[in-house]
Amino acid sequence: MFKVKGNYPYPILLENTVDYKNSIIKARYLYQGLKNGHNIKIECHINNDEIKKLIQDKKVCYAVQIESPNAMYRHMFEFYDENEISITLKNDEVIDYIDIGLALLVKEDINDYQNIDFVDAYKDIKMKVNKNEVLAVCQSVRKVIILEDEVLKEVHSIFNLQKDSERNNITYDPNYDRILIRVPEEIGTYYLASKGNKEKIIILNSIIFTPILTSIINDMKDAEEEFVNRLWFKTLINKINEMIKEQSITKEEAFNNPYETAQALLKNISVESINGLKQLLENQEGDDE
Amino acid sequence: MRQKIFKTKIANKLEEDILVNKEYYIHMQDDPNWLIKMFEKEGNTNFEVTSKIEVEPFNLKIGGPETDKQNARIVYEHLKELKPVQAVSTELWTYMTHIQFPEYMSNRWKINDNENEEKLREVIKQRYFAIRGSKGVIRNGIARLWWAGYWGYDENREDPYELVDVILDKQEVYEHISERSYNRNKNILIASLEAIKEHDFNTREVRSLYVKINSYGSDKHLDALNIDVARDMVNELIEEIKVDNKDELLV
Repeated sequence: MFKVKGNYPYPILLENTVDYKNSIIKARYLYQGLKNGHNIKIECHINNDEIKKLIQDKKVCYAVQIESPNAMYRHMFEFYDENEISITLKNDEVIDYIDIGLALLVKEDINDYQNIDFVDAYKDIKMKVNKNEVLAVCQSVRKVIILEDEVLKEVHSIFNLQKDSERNNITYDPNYDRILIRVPEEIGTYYLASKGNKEKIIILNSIIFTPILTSIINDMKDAEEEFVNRLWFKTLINKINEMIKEQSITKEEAFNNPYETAQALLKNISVESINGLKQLLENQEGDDE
Repeated sequence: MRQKIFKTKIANKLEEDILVNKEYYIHMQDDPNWLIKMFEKEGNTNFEVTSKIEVEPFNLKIGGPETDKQNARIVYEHLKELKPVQAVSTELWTYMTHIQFPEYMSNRWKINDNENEEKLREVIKQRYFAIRGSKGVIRNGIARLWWAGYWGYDENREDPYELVDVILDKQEVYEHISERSYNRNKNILIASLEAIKEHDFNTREVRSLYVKINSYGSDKHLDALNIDVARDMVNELIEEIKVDNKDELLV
């Protein structure tokens, strides 16, 4: 990371005034977890025209360093336009947390560097600042990574449908890594045989999974501790968080309306299945005629 | 085929039980497949899951440190597509040390009985497990071979593994690289490894080079150096080391 407290042999622009009378550099770091990665946008403010001119002349650049120690990742990104300091990282690049730092980096030797805003100690002194040296630096920040995608394990459905010859109704049991749904044998066989038929499977999925998912979301509010280590719970929480962000709703809203949340997670499967059923029936009536 | 890995709870439980299972680790050469047998006995067929990693089956050369270079080539060649975020997974490396390559592990990283249980636990944990966090994972018996490949592999060379050999040639080179943040800067890595090989540096000179690189980084931002500038920097530092060596002789 860029060193804020380094022993720089020349005046350095910081977030507070030390070597410059009034000039400072300020940064605001905005982190957003995306579906397939992470976006970091940095707003940088500098109130020194001479330094801004050096950036404009491409003698100095904005340098953003991002480090994810647990993924052994470190990378530096360079920009010349303060409005374009935006970086997208993939899910498989960083993990757990990232440290983000911003500095102004010298891109070509500046032989007689002077600044009208130098404190008196440096007044009228011309400095040599070399290529790859730091002219200004901000305190780095740490952002915790919100991981949306499983990077290693193969992702399975959160449900496990099992045929049960002893049963004549449908039940579910969340005390497994995948929610175990037991169905009468005949229905299980019919479900498996229907997998290749899109219209049929949408209707069956809607009938079987919508009420179970609704019930599960309803239970999740009060039983987090009980299920927190279950794989289905982790996956479902991630999906619900993703939905909350996409729909700009609160967590309370998502959990207080489990039926709507279930439908949203199942991509409005109830409506789709009714339309599909209508289509099937209409086709059947047509055939009968 | 897809690489199998431990279920998280199995890897965690195994780590918890290091001392419970200590005799198995100590006598692993006699019974490398103890864990598989234990799972079979318990009727536990639910200890592994399939990962997203595609890999062709491979074997490791059984032996001591002399096999490291060859085994690093084998491991990295087969797992080149692995991303660093996947290569810090305790489930993957713990599976490999216990299930896939226990015979290799029992020969390369033999666990000696030690009265101090805490020390014994630490040694087993370091070599057979891969605790999340950079230092935890790089000491795992198999992961270290992959990471040496990841840091040293350079496809621009006639032998892309030339620098991997340099990393594994001397233990202190692996330690310097793995435990410091140079490993996140490929240009510095390549330039320093080339120099270590060319000048056949001894332990002291290796340490001196990395201390000087560190010190150089206090003035200049190392991540901003391209490979040519990094090589120039290393050459400059080597001249300093030569002067230091001469001064020492004179003293």
